[in-house]
Amino acid sequence: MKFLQSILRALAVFFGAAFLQWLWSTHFAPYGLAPQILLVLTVAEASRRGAPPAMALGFFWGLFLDTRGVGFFGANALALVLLAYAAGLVRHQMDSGEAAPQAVLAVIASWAYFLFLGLVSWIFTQRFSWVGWADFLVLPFYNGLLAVALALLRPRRRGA
Amino acid sequence: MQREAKISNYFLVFYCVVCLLLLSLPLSAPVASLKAGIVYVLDPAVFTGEKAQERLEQLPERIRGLITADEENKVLRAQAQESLWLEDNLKQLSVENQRLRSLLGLRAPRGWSPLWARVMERDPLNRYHSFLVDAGQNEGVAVDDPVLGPSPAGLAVVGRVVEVRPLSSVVLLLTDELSAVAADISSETVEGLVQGQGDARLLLNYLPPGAKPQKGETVYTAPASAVFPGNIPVGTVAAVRPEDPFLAVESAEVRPEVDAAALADVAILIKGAARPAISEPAK
Repeated sequence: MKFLQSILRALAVFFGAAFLQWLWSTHFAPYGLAPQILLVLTVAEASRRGAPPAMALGFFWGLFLDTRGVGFFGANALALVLLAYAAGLVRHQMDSGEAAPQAVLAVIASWAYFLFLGLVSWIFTQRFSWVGWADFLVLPFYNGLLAVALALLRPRRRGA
Repeated sequence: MQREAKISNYFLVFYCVVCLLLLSLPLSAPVASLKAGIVYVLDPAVFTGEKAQERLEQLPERIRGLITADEENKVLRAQAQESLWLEDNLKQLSVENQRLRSLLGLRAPRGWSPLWARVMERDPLNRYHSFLVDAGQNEGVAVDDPVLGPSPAGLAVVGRVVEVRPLSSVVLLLTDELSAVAADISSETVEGLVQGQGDARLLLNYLPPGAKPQKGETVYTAPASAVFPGNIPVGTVAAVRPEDPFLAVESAEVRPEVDAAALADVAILIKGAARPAISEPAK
Protein backbone atom coordinates (compact mmCIF):
# COMPACT_ATOMS: atom_id res chain seq x y z
CA MET A 1 0.00 0.00 0.00
CA LYS A 2 2.75 2.38 0.94
CA PHE A 3 4.62 1.40 -2.19
CA LEU A 4 1.53 2.06 -4.31
CA GLN A 5 1.07 5.43 -2.60
CA SER A 6 4.65 6.38 -3.32
CA ILE A 7 4.24 5.34 -6.98
CA LEU A 8 1.09 7.38 -7.30
CA ARG A 9 2.74 10.33 -5.61
CA ALA A 10 5.73 10.06 -7.93
CA LEU A 11 3.46 9.95 -10.97
CA ALA A 12 1.49 12.96 -9.73
CA VAL A 13 4.68 14.89 -9.05
CA PHE A 14 6.13 13.88 -12.42
CA PHE A 15 3.13 14.88 -14.53
CA GLY A 16 2.25 17.92 -12.40
CA ALA A 17 5.76 19.31 -12.62
CA ALA A 18 6.04 18.57 -16.34
CA PHE A 19 2.76 20.40 -16.93
CA LEU A 20 3.86 23.31 -14.76
CA GLN A 21 7.17 23.54 -16.61
CA TRP A 22 5.36 23.58 -19.94
CA LEU A 23 2.77 26.11 -18.75
CA TRP A 24 5.29 28.49 -17.24
CA SER A 25 7.78 28.35 -20.08
CA THR A 26 5.06 28.67 -22.72
CA HIS A 27 2.68 31.21 -21.28
CA PHE A 28 4.31 33.02 -18.37
CA ALA A 29 7.78 33.74 -19.64
CA PRO A 30 8.44 37.51 -19.81
CA TYR A 31 11.30 38.20 -22.21
CA GLY A 32 11.41 34.44 -22.76
CA LEU A 33 12.65 33.88 -19.22
CA ALA A 34 11.10 31.07 -17.22
CA PRO A 35 12.61 29.16 -14.32
CA GLN A 36 13.72 25.59 -14.86
CA ILE A 37 11.16 24.06 -12.58
CA LEU A 38 12.19 20.48 -13.30
CA LEU A 39 15.80 21.21 -12.44
CA VAL A 40 14.87 22.98 -9.21
CA LEU A 41 12.48 20.18 -8.26
CA THR A 42 15.10 17.52 -8.98
CA VAL A 43 17.54 19.23 -6.65
CA ALA A 44 14.82 19.79 -4.04
CA GLU A 45 13.73 16.16 -4.24
CA ALA A 46 17.30 14.95 -3.86
CA SER A 47 17.81 17.22 -0.86
CA ARG A 48 14.67 16.07 0.78
CA ARG A 49 14.27 12.39 -0.06
CA GLY A 50 17.67 11.38 -1.21
CA ALA A 51 19.32 10.75 -4.56
CA PRO A 52 17.59 7.54 -5.83
CA PRO A 53 14.03 8.87 -6.17
CA ALA A 54 15.34 12.22 -7.39
CA MET A 55 17.49 10.48 -10.00
CA ALA A 56 14.47 8.52 -11.25
CA LEU A 57 12.37 11.65 -11.46
CA GLY A 58 15.22 13.62 -12.99
CA PHE A 59 15.81 10.92 -15.59
CA PHE A 60 12.21 10.94 -16.79
CA TRP A 61 11.86 14.71 -16.55
CA GLY A 62 15.03 14.94 -18.60
CA LEU A 63 13.56 12.65 -21.23
CA PHE A 64 10.46 14.83 -21.22
CA LEU A 65 12.64 17.89 -21.84
CA ASP A 66 14.58 16.02 -24.52
CA THR A 67 11.39 15.20 -26.39
CA ARG A 68 10.42 18.88 -26.31
CA GLY A 69 13.51 20.01 -28.20
CA VAL A 70 15.69 18.96 -31.09
CA GLY A 71 18.91 18.64 -29.09
CA PHE A 72 20.60 15.44 -28.06
CA PHE A 73 18.10 12.90 -26.84
CA GLY A 74 19.26 11.90 -23.38
CA ALA A 75 21.39 14.95 -22.62
CA ASN A 76 18.86 16.58 -20.28
CA ALA A 77 18.14 13.22 -18.68
CA LEU A 78 21.83 12.64 -17.98
CA ALA A 79 22.26 16.19 -16.69
CA LEU A 80 19.37 15.92 -14.24
CA VAL A 81 20.48 12.47 -13.09
CA LEU A 82 23.95 13.81 -12.34
CA LEU A 83 22.52 16.85 -10.57
CA ALA A 84 20.28 14.62 -8.46
CA TYR A 85 23.26 12.46 -7.54
CA ALA A 86 25.32 15.49 -6.64
CA ALA A 87 22.52 17.00 -4.57
CA GLY A 88 22.14 13.65 -2.82
CA LEU A 89 25.83 13.73 -1.93
CA VAL A 90 25.50 17.28 -0.58
CA ARG A 91 22.56 16.16 1.51
CA HIS A 92 24.90 13.89 3.44
CA GLN A 93 27.20 16.77 4.26
CA MET A 94 24.74 19.47 5.30
CA ASP A 95 21.08 20.26 5.84
CA SER A 96 20.31 21.30 2.32
CA GLY A 97 16.53 21.30 2.69
CA GLU A 98 16.26 24.89 3.98
CA ALA A 99 15.60 27.88 1.79
CA ALA A 100 19.09 29.37 1.66
CA PRO A 101 20.95 26.11 0.83
CA GLN A 102 18.28 25.30 -1.71
CA ALA A 103 18.78 28.67 -3.40
CA VAL A 104 22.54 28.20 -3.49
CA LEU A 105 22.20 24.65 -4.78
CA ALA A 106 19.72 25.75 -7.46
CA VAL A 107 22.02 28.52 -8.68
CA ILE A 108 25.07 26.24 -8.80
CA ALA A 109 23.07 23.41 -10.36
CA SER A 110 21.81 25.75 -13.06
CA TRP A 111 25.31 26.83 -14.03
CA ALA A 112 26.48 23.22 -13.97
CA TYR A 113 23.49 22.25 -16.08
CA PHE A 114 24.29 24.83 -18.76
CA LEU A 115 27.94 23.91 -18.84
CA PHE A 116 27.15 20.21 -18.98
CA LEU A 117 24.79 20.63 -21.93
CA GLY A 118 27.48 22.64 -23.73
CA LEU A 119 30.00 19.95 -22.93
CA VAL A 120 27.79 17.17 -24.28
CA SER A 121 27.27 19.20 -27.42
CA TRP A 122 31.04 19.68 -27.71
CA ILE A 123 31.66 15.94 -27.26
CA PHE A 124 29.20 14.90 -29.94
CA THR A 125 29.52 17.76 -32.42
CA GLN A 126 32.81 19.39 -31.55
CA ARG A 127 30.90 22.60 -30.94
CA PHE A 128 30.16 24.07 -27.51
CA SER A 129 26.49 24.92 -27.29
CA TRP A 130 26.33 28.17 -25.37
CA VAL A 131 23.01 29.28 -23.88
CA GLY A 132 23.93 32.96 -23.99
CA TRP A 133 25.09 35.31 -21.28
CA ALA A 134 21.61 36.60 -20.49
CA ASP A 135 20.26 33.15 -19.67
CA PHE A 136 23.51 32.10 -18.04
CA LEU A 137 23.44 35.06 -15.66
CA VAL A 138 19.72 35.51 -15.04
CA LEU A 139 18.15 32.07 -15.08
CA PRO A 140 20.18 30.59 -12.24
CA PHE A 141 18.96 33.34 -9.93
CA TYR A 142 15.43 32.91 -11.19
CA ASN A 143 15.81 29.22 -10.33
CA GLY A 144 17.24 30.20 -6.95
CA LEU A 145 14.18 32.33 -6.19
CA LEU A 146 11.93 29.47 -7.16
CA ALA A 147 13.90 27.11 -4.95
CA VAL A 148 13.47 29.50 -2.01
CA ALA A 149 9.74 29.69 -2.67
CA LEU A 150 9.46 25.89 -2.85
CA ALA A 151 11.47 25.46 0.32
CA LEU A 152 9.28 27.91 2.18
CA LEU A 153 6.07 26.41 0.86
CA ARG A 154 6.91 22.75 1.39
CA PRO A 155 5.16 21.13 4.33
CA ARG A 156 7.38 20.63 7.37
CA ARG A 157 7.71 17.30 9.04
CA ARG A 158 6.64 17.16 12.63
CA GLY A 159 9.57 17.52 14.96
CA ALA A 160 11.80 18.75 12.19
CA MET B 1 23.14 6.29 4.80
CA GLN B 2 25.63 3.84 3.35
CA ARG B 3 22.82 1.88 1.79
CA GLU B 4 21.42 4.98 0.15
CA ALA B 5 24.82 5.89 -1.19
CA LYS B 6 25.19 2.39 -2.60
CA ILE B 7 21.79 2.51 -4.27
CA SER B 8 22.61 5.94 -5.58
CA ASN B 9 25.77 4.64 -7.13
CA TYR B 10 23.99 1.74 -8.79
CA PHE B 11 21.27 4.08 -10.04
CA LEU B 12 23.89 6.52 -11.29
CA VAL B 13 25.65 3.83 -13.26
CA PHE B 14 22.39 2.54 -14.64
CA TYR B 15 21.06 5.93 -15.67
CA CYS B 16 24.39 7.04 -17.07
CA VAL B 17 24.61 3.93 -19.20
CA VAL B 18 21.08 4.41 -20.45
CA CYS B 19 21.63 8.09 -21.16
CA LEU B 20 24.92 7.46 -22.94
CA LEU B 21 23.23 4.81 -25.04
CA LEU B 22 20.47 7.27 -25.88
CA LEU B 23 23.02 9.92 -26.72
CA SER B 24 25.20 7.59 -28.74
CA LEU B 25 22.51 5.82 -30.72
CA PRO B 26 19.89 8.48 -31.38
CA LEU B 27 18.81 6.92 -34.65
CA SER B 28 18.66 3.27 -33.50
CA ALA B 29 15.31 1.56 -33.42
CA PRO B 30 15.05 1.10 -29.62
CA VAL B 31 15.95 4.72 -28.95
CA ALA B 32 13.60 5.97 -31.61
CA SER B 33 10.89 3.73 -30.17
CA LEU B 34 11.51 5.01 -26.65
CA LYS B 35 11.35 8.58 -27.86
CA ALA B 36 8.18 7.89 -29.78
CA GLY B 37 6.69 6.20 -26.71
CA ILE B 38 7.47 9.17 -24.48
CA VAL B 39 6.07 11.56 -27.03
CA TYR B 40 2.98 9.37 -27.36
CA VAL B 41 2.42 9.47 -23.60
CA LEU B 42 3.24 13.11 -22.94
CA ASP B 43 2.13 14.93 -26.07
CA PRO B 44 -1.61 14.49 -25.52
CA ALA B 45 -1.21 15.98 -22.05
CA VAL B 46 0.59 18.99 -23.48
CA PHE B 47 -1.89 19.25 -26.33
CA THR B 48 -4.82 19.08 -23.92
CA GLY B 49 -3.15 21.63 -21.70
CA GLU B 50 -2.65 23.94 -24.64
CA LYS B 51 -6.28 23.64 -25.66
CA ALA B 52 -7.44 24.18 -22.09
CA GLN B 53 -5.22 27.22 -21.82
CA GLU B 54 -6.62 28.55 -25.09
CA ARG B 55 -10.13 28.12 -23.81
CA LEU B 56 -9.25 29.80 -20.53
CA GLU B 57 -7.75 32.71 -22.45
CA GLN B 58 -10.95 33.07 -24.45
CA LEU B 59 -13.15 32.75 -21.39
CA PRO B 60 -13.47 36.47 -20.52
CA GLU B 61 -14.15 37.29 -24.15
CA ARG B 62 -16.74 34.54 -24.37
CA ILE B 63 -18.42 35.69 -21.18
CA ARG B 64 -18.43 39.23 -22.49
CA GLY B 65 -19.82 37.97 -25.78
CA LEU B 66 -22.47 36.01 -23.91
CA ILE B 67 -23.56 39.06 -21.94
CA THR B 68 -23.56 41.19 -25.10
CA ALA B 69 -25.53 38.52 -26.93
CA ASP B 70 -28.01 38.39 -24.07
CA GLU B 71 -28.47 42.16 -24.22
CA GLU B 72 -28.78 42.03 -28.00
CA ASN B 73 -31.23 39.19 -27.66
CA LYS B 74 -33.44 41.29 -25.38
CA VAL B 75 -33.34 44.24 -27.80
CA LEU B 76 -34.01 41.99 -30.79
CA ARG B 77 -36.88 40.28 -29.01
CA ALA B 78 -38.42 43.67 -28.28
CA GLN B 79 -37.88 44.71 -31.89
CA ALA B 80 -39.36 41.45 -33.12
CA GLN B 81 -42.42 41.93 -30.93
CA GLU B 82 -42.74 45.51 -32.12
CA SER B 83 -42.43 44.47 -35.75
CA LEU B 84 -45.03 41.77 -35.20
CA TRP B 85 -47.34 44.35 -33.71
CA LEU B 86 -46.61 46.72 -36.63
CA GLU B 87 -47.23 43.93 -39.12
CA ASP B 88 -50.52 43.13 -37.46
CA ASN B 89 -51.40 46.80 -37.41
CA LEU B 90 -50.50 47.08 -41.09
CA LYS B 91 -52.76 44.18 -41.95
CA GLN B 92 -55.61 45.76 -40.01
CA LEU B 93 -55.01 49.10 -41.70
CA SER B 94 -54.93 47.40 -45.08
CA VAL B 95 -58.24 45.70 -44.42
CA GLU B 96 -59.70 48.92 -43.12
CA ASN B 97 -58.36 50.77 -46.15
CA GLN B 98 -60.06 48.34 -48.51
CA ARG B 99 -63.28 48.63 -46.57
CA LEU B 100 -63.17 52.43 -46.56
CA ARG B 101 -62.38 52.45 -50.28
CA SER B 102 -65.50 50.41 -50.90
CA LEU B 103 -67.48 52.73 -48.65
CA LEU B 104 -66.32 55.74 -50.64
CA GLY B 105 -67.98 54.28 -53.68
CA LEU B 106 -71.38 54.17 -51.94
CA ARG B 107 -73.79 56.98 -52.50
CA ALA B 108 -76.45 58.19 -50.16
CA PRO B 109 -80.00 58.70 -51.46
CA ARG B 110 -80.71 62.03 -53.00
CA GLY B 111 -81.54 64.67 -50.45
CA TRP B 112 -79.76 62.91 -47.63
CA SER B 113 -76.25 63.34 -46.29
CA PRO B 114 -74.42 60.32 -44.91
CA LEU B 115 -72.54 60.56 -41.67
CA TRP B 116 -70.24 57.63 -41.32
CA ALA B 117 -69.86 56.20 -37.88
CA ARG B 118 -68.13 53.21 -36.40
CA VAL B 119 -69.92 50.55 -34.44
CA MET B 120 -68.55 51.10 -30.96
CA GLU B 121 -70.27 48.48 -28.92
CA ARG B 122 -72.36 45.48 -29.70
CA ASP B 123 -73.92 43.24 -27.10
CA PRO B 124 -73.28 39.65 -28.20
CA LEU B 125 -76.53 38.55 -26.58
CA ASN B 126 -78.49 41.25 -28.40
CA ARG B 127 -76.65 41.47 -31.67
CA TYR B 128 -79.93 41.53 -33.67
CA HIS B 129 -81.45 44.23 -31.51
CA SER B 130 -79.20 47.25 -31.24
CA PHE B 131 -75.68 48.61 -31.17
CA LEU B 132 -73.87 51.78 -30.24
CA VAL B 133 -72.15 54.02 -32.79
CA ASP B 134 -69.54 56.69 -32.21
CA ALA B 135 -71.51 59.59 -33.63
CA GLY B 136 -74.00 61.53 -31.56
CA GLN B 137 -75.53 64.88 -30.89
CA ASN B 138 -72.22 66.64 -31.38
CA GLU B 139 -72.11 65.37 -34.96
CA GLY B 140 -75.70 66.35 -35.66
CA VAL B 141 -77.36 62.96 -35.24
CA ALA B 142 -81.01 63.03 -34.25
CA VAL B 143 -83.55 60.45 -33.16
CA ASP B 144 -85.15 58.47 -36.02
CA ASP B 145 -82.30 59.14 -38.42
CA PRO B 146 -82.08 56.15 -40.76
CA VAL B 147 -79.00 54.01 -40.47
CA LEU B 148 -77.68 52.19 -43.54
CA GLY B 149 -74.88 49.74 -43.98
CA PRO B 150 -72.66 48.86 -46.92
CA SER B 151 -73.63 45.84 -48.94
CA PRO B 152 -72.73 44.50 -52.37
CA ALA B 153 -75.88 46.12 -53.72
CA GLY B 154 -75.07 49.52 -52.19
CA LEU B 155 -76.26 51.04 -49.00
CA ALA B 156 -78.93 48.92 -47.37
CA VAL B 157 -81.18 49.36 -44.38
CA VAL B 158 -79.72 48.55 -40.99
CA GLY B 159 -81.97 50.35 -38.54
CA ARG B 160 -82.68 53.75 -37.09
CA VAL B 161 -81.38 55.92 -34.32
CA VAL B 162 -83.48 55.60 -31.19
CA GLU B 163 -81.32 57.37 -28.65
CA VAL B 164 -78.87 60.18 -29.10
CA ARG B 165 -76.10 61.03 -26.67
CA PRO B 166 -73.49 63.77 -27.04
CA LEU B 167 -70.83 61.49 -28.46
CA SER B 168 -72.70 58.34 -29.39
CA SER B 169 -76.03 57.03 -30.52
CA VAL B 170 -78.03 53.87 -30.04
CA VAL B 171 -79.22 52.23 -33.24
CA LEU B 172 -82.27 50.00 -33.18
CA LEU B 173 -81.74 47.33 -35.79
CA LEU B 174 -84.34 46.36 -38.29
CA THR B 175 -84.12 42.81 -37.03
CA ASP B 176 -85.39 43.88 -33.59
CA GLU B 177 -89.00 42.92 -32.85
CA LEU B 178 -89.92 46.57 -32.39
CA SER B 179 -88.62 47.58 -35.81
CA ALA B 180 -90.65 47.83 -38.94
CA VAL B 181 -90.36 49.58 -42.24
CA ALA B 182 -92.76 49.94 -45.13
CA ALA B 183 -91.38 47.99 -48.07
CA ASP B 184 -92.22 46.82 -51.54
CA ILE B 185 -91.03 44.03 -53.77
CA SER B 186 -89.05 44.72 -56.87
CA SER B 187 -91.46 42.89 -59.22
CA GLU B 188 -94.64 44.32 -57.79
CA THR B 189 -95.86 47.69 -56.79
CA VAL B 190 -97.49 46.28 -53.70
CA GLU B 191 -96.43 47.41 -50.29
CA GLY B 192 -95.95 45.45 -47.19
CA LEU B 193 -94.34 45.89 -43.82
CA VAL B 194 -90.96 44.43 -43.02
CA GLN B 195 -90.84 43.52 -39.33
CA GLY B 196 -87.98 42.39 -37.19
CA GLN B 197 -88.16 38.96 -35.60
CA GLY B 198 -85.37 39.22 -33.07
CA ASP B 199 -83.10 37.00 -35.12
CA ALA B 200 -81.32 37.05 -38.48
CA ARG B 201 -84.56 36.90 -40.49
CA LEU B 202 -87.17 39.56 -41.24
CA LEU B 203 -90.81 39.13 -41.96
CA LEU B 204 -92.40 40.86 -44.92
CA ASN B 205 -95.98 41.05 -43.73
CA TYR B 206 -99.30 42.45 -44.76
CA LEU B 207 -98.87 41.86 -48.46
CA PRO B 208 -102.16 42.03 -50.29
CA PRO B 209 -103.57 38.71 -51.45
CA GLY B 210 -102.23 37.68 -54.84
CA ALA B 211 -98.97 39.59 -54.43
CA LYS B 212 -97.07 36.37 -54.94
CA PRO B 213 -93.59 37.31 -53.85
CA GLN B 214 -90.87 35.16 -55.39
CA LYS B 215 -87.92 33.70 -53.63
CA GLY B 216 -84.77 35.76 -54.28
CA GLU B 217 -86.62 38.96 -55.02
CA THR B 218 -85.18 42.11 -53.55
CA VAL B 219 -87.22 44.02 -51.02
CA TYR B 220 -86.87 47.81 -50.98
CA THR B 221 -88.05 50.47 -48.64
CA ALA B 222 -91.30 52.01 -49.81
CA PRO B 223 -91.37 55.73 -50.59
CA ALA B 224 -94.18 55.96 -48.13
CA SER B 225 -91.88 55.08 -45.26
CA ALA B 226 -91.89 57.71 -42.57
CA VAL B 227 -88.28 57.16 -41.58
CA PHE B 228 -86.39 55.76 -44.55
CA PRO B 229 -86.03 57.18 -47.99
CA GLY B 230 -87.53 55.04 -50.70
CA ASN B 231 -85.85 52.35 -52.79
CA ILE B 232 -83.22 51.39 -50.26
CA PRO B 233 -82.54 47.66 -50.32
CA VAL B 234 -83.80 45.89 -47.25
CA GLY B 235 -83.15 42.27 -48.15
CA THR B 236 -84.12 39.40 -50.37
CA VAL B 237 -87.06 37.07 -50.09
CA ALA B 238 -85.81 33.87 -48.56
CA ALA B 239 -89.07 31.95 -48.25
CA VAL B 240 -92.69 32.54 -49.02
CA ARG B 241 -95.10 31.48 -46.34
CA PRO B 242 -98.08 29.42 -47.45
CA GLU B 243 -101.31 31.26 -47.73
CA ASP B 244 -103.49 31.15 -44.68
CA PRO B 245 -107.14 30.84 -45.64
CA PHE B 246 -108.11 32.61 -42.45
CA LEU B 247 -105.92 35.64 -43.18
CA ALA B 248 -106.46 38.24 -45.82
CA VAL B 249 -102.73 38.98 -46.20
CA GLU B 250 -99.65 37.17 -47.40
CA SER B 251 -96.20 37.14 -45.88
CA ALA B 252 -92.66 36.09 -46.70
CA GLU B 253 -89.40 35.63 -44.90
CA VAL B 254 -86.72 38.09 -45.86
CA ARG B 255 -82.98 37.73 -45.46
CA PRO B 256 -81.52 41.16 -44.59
CA GLU B 257 -79.22 42.69 -47.17
CA VAL B 258 -76.80 43.63 -44.45
CA ASP B 259 -75.73 41.40 -41.61
CA ALA B 260 -75.97 43.93 -38.86
CA ALA B 261 -74.25 41.60 -36.47
CA ALA B 262 -71.03 41.87 -38.48
CA LEU B 263 -71.02 45.55 -39.36
CA ALA B 264 -68.08 47.78 -38.59
CA ASP B 265 -69.21 51.05 -40.14
CA VAL B 266 -72.61 52.49 -40.78
CA ALA B 267 -73.93 55.55 -42.53
CA ILE B 268 -76.39 57.66 -40.59
CA LEU B 269 -78.55 59.53 -43.05
CA ILE B 270 -79.24 63.12 -42.21
CA LYS B 271 -81.96 64.87 -44.08
CA GLY B 272 -80.71 67.57 -46.41
CA ALA B 273 -77.24 68.95 -45.79
CA ALA B 274 -75.46 67.67 -42.75
CA ARG B 275 -76.72 69.33 -39.64
CA PRO B 276 -74.21 71.64 -38.04
CA ALA B 277 -72.34 69.86 -35.38
CA ILE B 278 -72.89 71.07 -31.87
CA SER B 279 -69.59 72.31 -30.62
CA GLU B 280 -68.52 71.54 -27.13
CA PRO B 281 -69.11 74.29 -24.62
CA ALA B 282 -66.09 76.52 -24.06
CA LYS B 283 -64.29 75.67 -20.90
